[in-house]
Amino acid sequence: MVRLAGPWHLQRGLPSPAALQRELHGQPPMRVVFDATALRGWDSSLVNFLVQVVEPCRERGVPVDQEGLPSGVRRLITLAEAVPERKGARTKALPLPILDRIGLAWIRGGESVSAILSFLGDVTQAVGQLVRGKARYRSVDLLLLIQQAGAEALPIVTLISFLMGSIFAFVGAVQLQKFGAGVYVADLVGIAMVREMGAVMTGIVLAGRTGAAYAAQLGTMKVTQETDALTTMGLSPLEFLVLPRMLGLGLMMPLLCLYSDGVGILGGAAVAVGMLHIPLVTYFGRIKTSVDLTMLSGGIFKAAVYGVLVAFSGCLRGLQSGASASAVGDAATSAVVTSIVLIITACGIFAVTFYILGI
Amino acid sequence: MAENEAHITVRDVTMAFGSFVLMHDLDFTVRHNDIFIIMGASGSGKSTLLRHMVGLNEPVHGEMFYGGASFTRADPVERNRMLRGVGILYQGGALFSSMTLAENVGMPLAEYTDLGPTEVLEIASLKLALVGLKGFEDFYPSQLSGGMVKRAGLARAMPRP
Repeated sequence: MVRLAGPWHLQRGLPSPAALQRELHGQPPMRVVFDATALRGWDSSLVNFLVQVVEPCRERGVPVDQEGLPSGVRRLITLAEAVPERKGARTKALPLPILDRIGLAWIRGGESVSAILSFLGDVTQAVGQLVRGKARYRSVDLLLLIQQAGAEALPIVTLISFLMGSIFAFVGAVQLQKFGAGVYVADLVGIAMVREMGAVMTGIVLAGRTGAAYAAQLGTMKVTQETDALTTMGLSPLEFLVLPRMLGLGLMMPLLCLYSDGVGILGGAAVAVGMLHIPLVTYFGRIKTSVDLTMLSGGIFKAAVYGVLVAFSGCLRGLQSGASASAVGDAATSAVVTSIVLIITACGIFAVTFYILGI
Repeated sequence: MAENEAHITVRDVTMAFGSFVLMHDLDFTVRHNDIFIIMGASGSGKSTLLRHMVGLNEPVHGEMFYGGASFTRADPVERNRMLRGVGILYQGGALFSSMTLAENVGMPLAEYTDLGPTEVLEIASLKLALVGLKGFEDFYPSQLSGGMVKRAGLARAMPRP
């Protein structure tokens, strides 16, 4: 006989059924009867308690007489037990031994590399279709993407490049003035911006601005099944979604980089004229002698590559995204991280290659 | 076409996620002019079965046939051709959020017929009118209610006349 008394409300905490369960484990009673005459009010805390008592009873074959319970409680207990627990649905989160975890991490790392390679293969195929003029995408989408990645990125690229240029000039000026070589600040800013920083900074800005957006867009399209709808319409998401994005960024990055080079040199000029009192003509004269076309085209070529890398990582992480809000967030984060890692790696490879080639 | 000719055949299909087998040895035939309903408790794999039938998931065993030809063993190009006769209405509508309703509904037409833009728009308007969405051609999916999105999805899923 289990006697229930007083108010059973969630605000008063959950009473533990442990005492009763212990009773059942020891000498199982013939049958269990409830008496709820003294019960004053109840909610799910009572139902939870009773389910935890009734279930072990059933397992042990102890008959349970629910007659004494209020009819509402009886109905809820029946409902809770109507559908039996699905076998294998509850996953046990066992803490794995350290070696297992290291092994799993390795396997996952390998899987992620092979996923990247297979995406690279798919993209290459799609580019092949594009070259043969067979790729299916909407040119309206491409134009819109070009506008978003290109023209709309101008304010932030202007700001970052101008500041980069003036920081270079400022840091350089402090050192160069010690040798009375302040005029060479123009060479410093010009070469740094045109060779490396224009492309790298634009790449990083676009990784945060556009790459993350691509990952979020494609991730959301996966959540809302838009990519499935495309596939079943016979349109490849690779051609329809990824190609225009890579094309757009690949086309816009060189232009943005050129613009960034120019703005960076202007930023340097502001410091050179304002702080070092170098005449503007002298500054641009130095720029003209130190920066040549090979340097400029090298930087622009790098920018095109960075653009493709940013779009690649954005689309890759977007299409890999899981189907939840936090998964889309992770995809955007991961896209930015991947982009920046790829840009810096490519930057290193370019530096060595250009050095060997003597450019 | 004969009245009772097999239209869609699912033979011996087993579906699984990893080691978790959802359904096994599934066998059924849908004949021409049939209205075929798949019923089951939630979580029993109805959507998953449909995903398998349009190639979004691959069965671990068994085969599906469309009008006698194997869909499971077809190459991607052949599959696309087969799927052109299939209309799918997704659970959440799955309209392309960057396109207007008319563009959404007209997209299969624009991609797979030689119709010009004005003709595509006309047919798209007709299909939207059929689901009671006349006048909503230039709305984006995000501007509509859930039920309206679903109806627009139905308009897009309608097989081409």
